Amino acid sequence: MTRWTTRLALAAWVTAVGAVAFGNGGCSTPDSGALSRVNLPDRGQFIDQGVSAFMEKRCGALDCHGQIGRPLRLYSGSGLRMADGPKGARDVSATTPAERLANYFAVVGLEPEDITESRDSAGAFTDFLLLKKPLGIDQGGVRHKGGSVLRSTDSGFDCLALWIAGTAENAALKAKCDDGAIQ
Amino acid sequence: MLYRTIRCLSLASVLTFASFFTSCTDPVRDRAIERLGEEDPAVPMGPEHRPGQPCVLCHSDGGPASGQPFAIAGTIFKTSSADSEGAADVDVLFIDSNSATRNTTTNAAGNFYIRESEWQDLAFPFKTGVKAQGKDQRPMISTVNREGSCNFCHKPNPGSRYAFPDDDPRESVGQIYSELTP
Repeated sequence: MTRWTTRLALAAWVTAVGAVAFGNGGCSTPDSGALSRVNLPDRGQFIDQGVSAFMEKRCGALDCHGQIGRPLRLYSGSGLRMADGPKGARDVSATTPAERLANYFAVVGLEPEDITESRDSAGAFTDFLLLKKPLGIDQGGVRHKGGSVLRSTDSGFDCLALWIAGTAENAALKAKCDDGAIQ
Repeated sequence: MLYRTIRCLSLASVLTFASFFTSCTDPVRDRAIERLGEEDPAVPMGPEHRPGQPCVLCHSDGGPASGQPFAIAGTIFKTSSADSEGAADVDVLFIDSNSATRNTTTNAAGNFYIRESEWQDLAFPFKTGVKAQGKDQRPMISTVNREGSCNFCHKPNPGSRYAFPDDDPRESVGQIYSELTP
């Protein structure tokens, strides 16, 4: 073996060891104990002050978010039910607390970090899907397969924005959501 | 020789592309249509066929009835009973998100439809209501967001001869009907 070959082999070995050491240092495994801080909108307001009812009516029809395969699945008495009624028939009762709780988790689970940022900023941050999807592109939002379903001046939009911001009293929030549901 | 080869290759390319585009179908829609089954031999193909089925599935661009596309279509039954027949002469009214309105009336099978040519600029979501002869108008509670087939959500009730055994009752608000069940 010549001197040059020996040097070349040594250089290759040093490079390989260095690459492995760099790789191990740069690609550590995820910390299984790590948690993301979230500051989520109020669950009670969503269930009892009309936010869920507004979304059930305006977003949760069976041809939209009331479908099993669709993202942001919403349950309701007039749409998709969580369970069958007696003897396998349709459950014709009003939306159940369990369904509204599932709706809450579907909504806050959409973009929890962004919703947290919005709530932390008392509603100043609005660049996230829950507020931009319903506007559609033509209203300044983002592409929504269901098109533009709200305007930023609608009570329904205020219902969502105020609930996320956490700046409205129960009565004021409910008034916006109830009005938004019938628009 | 070279000219012939190029010509053959060009022809082969054109045929390949043509077969690709003509054979492109929507497998989801194909399966949904296949599930609807054959025509009822007792009912001629036409406005009274296939009551209770999602009309726009076939009557739209790319469907087997694309020559007669519908904007909105559905079926109204006389009652909520599973053995109910279709309700004739029920007025069905629509108002879309541009405040444009249309109305139509059910035929003998209870079927109704608005042709696509009659409402080319239909803007979803729209609201609707029904009015049977001598009765008050009954508006639908929620809006229709994107589906032109009313029977997509309003499937015939379980036990109806128009229902399918694998219909999931959680995904249907039941058939539209014009009178309360006696």
